[in-house]
Amino acid sequence: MKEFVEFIARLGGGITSSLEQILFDYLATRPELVNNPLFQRANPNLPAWSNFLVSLGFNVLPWAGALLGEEDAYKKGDKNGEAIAHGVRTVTEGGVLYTVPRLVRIPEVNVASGRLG
Amino acid sequence: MDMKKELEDFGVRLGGAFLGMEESAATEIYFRTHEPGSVGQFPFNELIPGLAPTDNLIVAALAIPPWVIGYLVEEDAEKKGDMKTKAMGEALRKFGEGDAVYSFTLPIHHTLVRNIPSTGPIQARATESRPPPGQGIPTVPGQPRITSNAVRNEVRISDGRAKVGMPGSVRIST
Repeated sequence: MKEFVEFIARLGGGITSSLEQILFDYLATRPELVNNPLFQRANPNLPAWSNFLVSLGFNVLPWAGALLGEEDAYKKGDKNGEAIAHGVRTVTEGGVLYTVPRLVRIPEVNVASGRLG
Repeated sequence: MDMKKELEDFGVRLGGAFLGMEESAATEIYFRTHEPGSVGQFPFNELIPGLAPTDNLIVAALAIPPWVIGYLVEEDAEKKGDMKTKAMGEALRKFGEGDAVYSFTLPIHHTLVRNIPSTGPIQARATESRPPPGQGIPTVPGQPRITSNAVRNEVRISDGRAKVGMPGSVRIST
């Protein structure tokens, strides 16, 4: 049962990160934001910087922070803090599992198919 | 808390997620390299208008067997006291779990993009002319660019009958 609950938490984290990406994709279509550096790309084949922000900023860093926090709380015997950090880590792990492969998928598909979208 | 084990588990899950990503990338590459013949054809069709393409659903379904088999192997080995097989089953379950997190989220993402009203401007771009294959979208410094994934990478007419605001009329691959 615990594994199933954690799976649902990870899936929730993945869906949340997809909603974050949808929000940024929507913002990128706004005329006033179209030149915003957040929606530019270092290379046409690469993901937009907003993809990196969602992946690294909203998921990978919180995941790493929660992992370290969980270990710290464990060493201090802070059961409450450990449980909170574990929950944050589990949810953000779902986001990592969805967004990090996407960062690879976008250039892979663009390059392998020889076209952008 | 065993940090090393947690990181190993995460690595196994991430490996599963990358498997799901490669499966979906393979179908996407096939779709793009076989356009327009692949447009609207199985598995790039939509079973229900507004639902993610069938290839996304197939990739999601492929994530289930390793997950279930791993779970059953783990349970069986635990009852028999076979710790080596239990560890193998646990690893397979976690690998399938990572695959499932990626592969289940993908069609949910694509379904949401098709149905959330705020993505209207993105759908509107589906009717714009597309660059020739291999040329991509020009990126002139200082000029407005189409940079969003959901705009540039993704929105495309899948059945040749796309209309603005018509759910299911575009194939979106993010």
